This record gives sequence, structure tokens and C-alpha cells, in this order.
Amino acid sequence: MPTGAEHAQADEALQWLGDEPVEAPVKLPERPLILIADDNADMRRHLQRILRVRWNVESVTNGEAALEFIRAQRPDLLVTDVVMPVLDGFGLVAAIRADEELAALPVIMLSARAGIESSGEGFAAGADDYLVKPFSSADLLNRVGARLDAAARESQAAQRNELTTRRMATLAELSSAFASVATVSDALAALLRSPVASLGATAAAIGMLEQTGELIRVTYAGELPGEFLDRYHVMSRDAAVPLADVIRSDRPMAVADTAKLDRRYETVASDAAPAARAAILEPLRASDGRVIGALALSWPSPRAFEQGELELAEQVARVMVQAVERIDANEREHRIATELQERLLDLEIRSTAAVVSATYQPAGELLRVGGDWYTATTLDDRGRIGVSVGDVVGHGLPGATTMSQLRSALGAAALTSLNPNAVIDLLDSYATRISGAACATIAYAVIDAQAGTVCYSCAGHPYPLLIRPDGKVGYLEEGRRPPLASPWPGLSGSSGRSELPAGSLLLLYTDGLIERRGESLDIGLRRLAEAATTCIHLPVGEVCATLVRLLAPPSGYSDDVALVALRPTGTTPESFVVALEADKSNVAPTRHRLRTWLRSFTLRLDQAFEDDVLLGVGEALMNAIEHGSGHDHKRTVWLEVFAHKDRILASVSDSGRWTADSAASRRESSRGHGLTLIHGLTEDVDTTRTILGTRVMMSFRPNRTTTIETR
Amino acid sequence: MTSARFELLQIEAGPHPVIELRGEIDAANAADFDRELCAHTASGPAILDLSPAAYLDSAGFEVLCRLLPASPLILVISPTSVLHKAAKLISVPFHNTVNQAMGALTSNR
Repeated sequence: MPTGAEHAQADEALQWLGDEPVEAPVKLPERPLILIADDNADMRRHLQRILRVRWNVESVTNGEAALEFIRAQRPDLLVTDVVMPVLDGFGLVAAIRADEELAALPVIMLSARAGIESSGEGFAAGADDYLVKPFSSADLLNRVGARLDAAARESQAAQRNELTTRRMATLAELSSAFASVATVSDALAALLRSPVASLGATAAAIGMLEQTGELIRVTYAGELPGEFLDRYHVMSRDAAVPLADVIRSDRPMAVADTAKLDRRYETVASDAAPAARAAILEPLRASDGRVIGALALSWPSPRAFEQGELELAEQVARVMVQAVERIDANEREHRIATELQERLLDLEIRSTAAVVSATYQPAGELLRVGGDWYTATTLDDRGRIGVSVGDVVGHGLPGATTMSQLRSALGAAALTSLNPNAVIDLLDSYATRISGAACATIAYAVIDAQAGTVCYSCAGHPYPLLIRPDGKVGYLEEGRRPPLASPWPGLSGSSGRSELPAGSLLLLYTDGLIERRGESLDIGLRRLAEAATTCIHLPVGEVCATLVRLLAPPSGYSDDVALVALRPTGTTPESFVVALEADKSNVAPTRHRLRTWLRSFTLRLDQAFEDDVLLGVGEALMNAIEHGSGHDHKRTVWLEVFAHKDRILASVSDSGRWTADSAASRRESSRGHGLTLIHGLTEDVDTTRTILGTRVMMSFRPNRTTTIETR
Repeated sequence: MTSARFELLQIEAGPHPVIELRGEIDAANAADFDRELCAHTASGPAILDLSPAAYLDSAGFEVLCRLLPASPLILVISPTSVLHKAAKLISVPFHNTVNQAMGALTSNR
């Protein structure tokens, strides 16, 4: 039976509600759920009326039923009576606290028994709060509200704790992922692969101060516009770019919305949008405290950053510094090891008779100086070019020394004769006098682009490969002779000779490209011939990169690879190849010739498409002359244009490393507009920067109604 | 084979002279273009019709972008001009016809 006091409380509730029956309360899923355990129906109804105003409420009539409900529904709070059949309030609370999964449930106990000792009993049984009947509805609401708030705070704290733990684990994972990366861009990719460490960023960048401390070189990963990457790969330390300011000031920066940045950053903010609308930038400090660069993370939409996220970014930057310093140290080692090679392997092409590219790939991951070499030299005023690829027995310093001796000797010998066999004769007699040159092999070719011929001699070296304008592939198998300083002297041969018309492609390589252990050389030769057929309409730089990629054994190259690709300048219906001296006044004549070539595609190309190609190519040529060659007239800039079925592919190469501030030009010179045009007129732009220079590949695609048909 | 050449022709005199650009402008002759254009606009507002030009690269647009804010020069580039797409990409302000440009010039007075 209800006590008088309970009746009084029930009356209070009825006064609010009149005779309105207890209808099913409105259930709002996002509201906390409260369970009432009480055997008294009036009391249950009373409690429901009070509580359902703010929370979802369910009720049961005894402790046993309550336990069952709690296990199944996981309410957010329990209001329980003490005296109930089957299982009373004390028993219920004890059972809840004994269950690991339920123990955290806040419990408010109701009892008619007043006095200190019974409320002590309630707390001792594990209730979080204790209400003595009679109680006012306001008191009940306050107590329940306070308990729910406290529980929410606790669960948030627990979540934060868990987040911190997870982030610590992520940093540890990141650190171990960084241990195996070889380049800064690999490290950035690894960072982006971890959504926790990168805070879900879609792009990341690292700017590193160059040794002189004036220029910042930036490496990017993730989703950013190509034009942005081209524009901001080199910048002055004083550039109005957040990355530069973070490096200069040694202060991190969080940008919630790039559109609301200081006016100072207006240009870079609009260039980066919409790919980057929010960013965090952290300085990278070396172990001695010096700022060596900065790390940037960006998001495609504005977002606020919590303190914890900023702290995490700071920690990520610290982990990143270790990786960057290690990569830098490795690269320096690698640089020392390959410096000799790079100096030796610079292409000395001043001729406008051909475009040449080369690549050198050391075996596996071993950082060592190899015994392979390549050369390309202009031989006379007529623009004849001597090209060689050679392979000395042995590696390391002894191999490299022999290699550089032979290479110099070849350079001198090449100037004495245009007959390759005679040049090799001279080299051979020199080779017998130096140690380590025995059995070195060499392929040497003299290209006369005007006559459209190649003469060649191969001393124990794999056959040069010729891809003809019609796409047919053949090895140049004449001009054979034994290796240099061989134990079988006197077998001097004669030069081989072949046509080399415009549109053809000549490849010289060392055996590392084709040889695989336990495999006949014929298979390797076939593999190269097959791969080469896909290269006929690729620019020479791309030919080298593609072949080295396509022919790599699954476990990587076991021997060094040197590869030279040469294409005579000239025009065919499918290709337009020009080498021009780096002088701005040479660009207009080249454009005019290109226009004539484009017009040969009958009338199928519309005028507007033709203008797009001319302007895009013209801009890229001017860039190569101004930035890639520094107006050095002795340098040459190469243009290769190919007519593919559905597009025009144009490649512009220079032999320089851009040192100008690419970001500053946005404000100060025409290069800013030049990049806008190049990216706006093309379907795709791909910029490759190597030790030999910069190569810009542009793809122009006409609209659907026009097709490119060569005659 | 010739390097880039251009001509600036005054085709209408009067208070608002109309000048036409013919030929090609690239980085090799942009400085000459700059000089000649300044000479043409020294005496007062002018309309520069770029529609007949055969080529104008970023160096040429750079000259225009530098001159525009300072001098009373109004550009005309017809929608069929080879320069139209580039001008749109660079966001240079221009009119489609000489008449429109003339209208803009007189209504501003």
C-alpha cells in the first residue's frame, strides 16, 4: 500500500495533468533512457509523468525484471525502489555492480525510510544517489539530470582517454612505417594512409630549406591540383605562403578556413582551393632545435581543430623529422656515392640533330658506384652525335675509376674519326694499357641525322635496338667485335650501318636491362623488343622511364642498368621532333613549323584545337628556355609531339634544374599566367624533374567530334 | 622561319581611337609590344582590338595586365578570336565587339 506521503506526491502530479490517461510517451531516440523499478503502479505512473518530459522512460515492477531489462536495453540510468518482490532494490544494485558490463550504470534509490542510516545503507549497496520519499518532482528532475550529466562527462573522459591511447599507438605505428621509407614522398604517403595520424587529411606536404637557407623545396602527396604542384615546388624563404612563414617564424599554424586567411595569403589560398580549404602547418625541428622545414596537412573543406588534434599534429611532425633526417642522411650518402656517376653521366648534347635521354639505375637497393656508363657528345658542326653505352667488369671504386678512364678515352677517340670501328680500335689499344679494362664491353654509334643514318660498332656488347617509324623493331646485329682488351686480340671488325630516318628511335643499353639469372639472353632480347614497341610514340625521357619500369625483374635489377634513347629530329605524319637552342627568338619559328605539321591532319582538327596546342607548347618552350636553361644559348630545349589516335601528346624537356622561386613568379612574371594557360588548355600535364633536367608532358584531347588522322 | 612579329594599327581616330593588333606576341617581342602600346595610349583612352592577332602568349597578357589598371585602355576580343580561350583562362576583362567597348567608354564619362 502506498504511504500517505506517496499519495501526496501522486496528487501533485495529477494536478499538473488532470485526468489525462498515461498514454505511451513520445520516444525520441536521441534522448537518454531511464528505467524505473517499482512495484507500486501509482508510483510508477507518477515517476513516468515527471521524467518523460526530458527523457525516454520505461518501467518494471521488480528487481529481477529490472536486471533483465538492463541487460537487454542498456538504459542510461536506473531509478529503483528499495522494497520490491522477488529481488529488492539492494539486491538489484548489488547485482548490477557485480556485473562488469553493467557496473557503470548510475542508480538513484528511492525509499520511504528516512534518516541517515538508511541512506547510508543505500550508498553502501552501491547506489549513486538516494532520494527519500516524499520528494518533490523538481528534486527528482535535478538529481536525475545531475547523475546523467556526470555519467556523460565520465564517458567523454573515457573516450578522450581511449583516443589518446589510440593516438599514441598510431604514432608508434607511424614511426615504424617511416623506418622503411626511402623518400620524403613515400613518408608523406605513409602518413596519409593513417587516418588517425593524418587526422583524415587528404593532402600532405613537406617543405625543406635548401642548404643555402634561401630556397624551400616542397614535396607533395595526396589530392592537390597539378597546377598548384607545378607552381609551388620551389619557393623563396620569404614567399607569402604559410609554409614559408611557418619555417621562418618557427611557429605552427592552424587554418580553419583558407578563405578567411590574411590577405597576404590570398594568392596561395585561391590557388590551393578547392582541394585545400583547411590546413595545419607544423615546423620541423632538427635534433639541435634548428628549423629545417615544415609539415603541412590539408583538408578539402573548412574545419575547426581541437586542441588534441593540434597536439597530435605536433607529435606527428616530431616523428616525421626523424624520418626526414634519416632519409636526408641516406640521400647524402647516396649522393656521395653517385656524385661521380652523375658528373660523368651528364649528357653533353649541344646538337639540334637529335633529342637524347638517358637513365642510370644502380642494381637493387645497394648504394654503390657502378661500372656502367653512357655518353652523348656532339662531334661536329653538322650536328653528328656520338652515343655510347659501356660496361666495365666489377663495381665500386675500382670499377668506377676504370669506367671514367675509358669514358674519357672514348671522348677523345671519338673526335679523331667518324668511323665507329676506328674509334673502338683506338679505345681498345688504350684499354690494354690500363688495369681493370679487360673484357669491358661497349656499344658506340655515330648518328648523322641529316643523312638519316647510324653507324655503329659493338665490342662484346648487346645489340643496339632500332624502332622504325612504322613501329617495326629490329636489333642492329652488324659491327661485332670482341670485348675491349680481350684475350683474343686481332679480331677487329668493321662498322655496321643502318638507316635512321626521322620518326625512328634508337636504344643503347647495358645487359643489366635484359639479363635475368637462369634465363637465356634471347628471352631478354625478345622482352626488350616487345616492350620497345609500346614506346615508339613516347618522348625519349618517357621511353627510358617506361622501359626501366617494364623490364624490372620482380625482385628488382640484380645488375646496374644504363640506357640511352635517341630520336633524330625531323617530322613524320605521326611525330614532330625538334631540338632548339635556348633562345626565345627560336620559339616562333618552331611554332610556325608545328602549325604546318598540325594542318597536315587534313581538315579534321578544328582551328581552336590547333591554337590550344600551339599556345600550350609555346608556353612550355618559353618556360624551358627562361627557367630550365637560364637563357644559356648553348643549352638545347627539346620538343617532341606525337599524334595519337585520340590526342596530341607533346613533351618539352630542358637540361636544367629550376632555381627560381616558382611561387613568386605568380605575382611577378608571366610564368604565372603561363602555367594557368598550360593547365587550362591541356587535358593532362605531367612534370618530371630529374638530375638531367625537367620534362613537361602535355596531353591535348580534341572534342569528341574531331579525330586525329594522319595520312 | 621568322621570329614573332606584330603591328599595332590605328584604324579609327577621334576621342576614342581604335587600335588593332595584328601578328604574334610572345616572350621574345613582348617588351616591344609594351613600348609601342604605351606610346599609343599616352594621349588618352583607347580601344585595343586583339581579335585579328594570330598569337598572344602569357608574356603578352602580362603586358596587358600590367597596363590595364593604370591606363585608359579597353580590350576587345571577339568570341571567334584565337585569343578568346586564353583571355578567359587568365580572366582579362574584355568586350566582344568594338561597339560594346565604345559604349562602355562613353557611358563611363
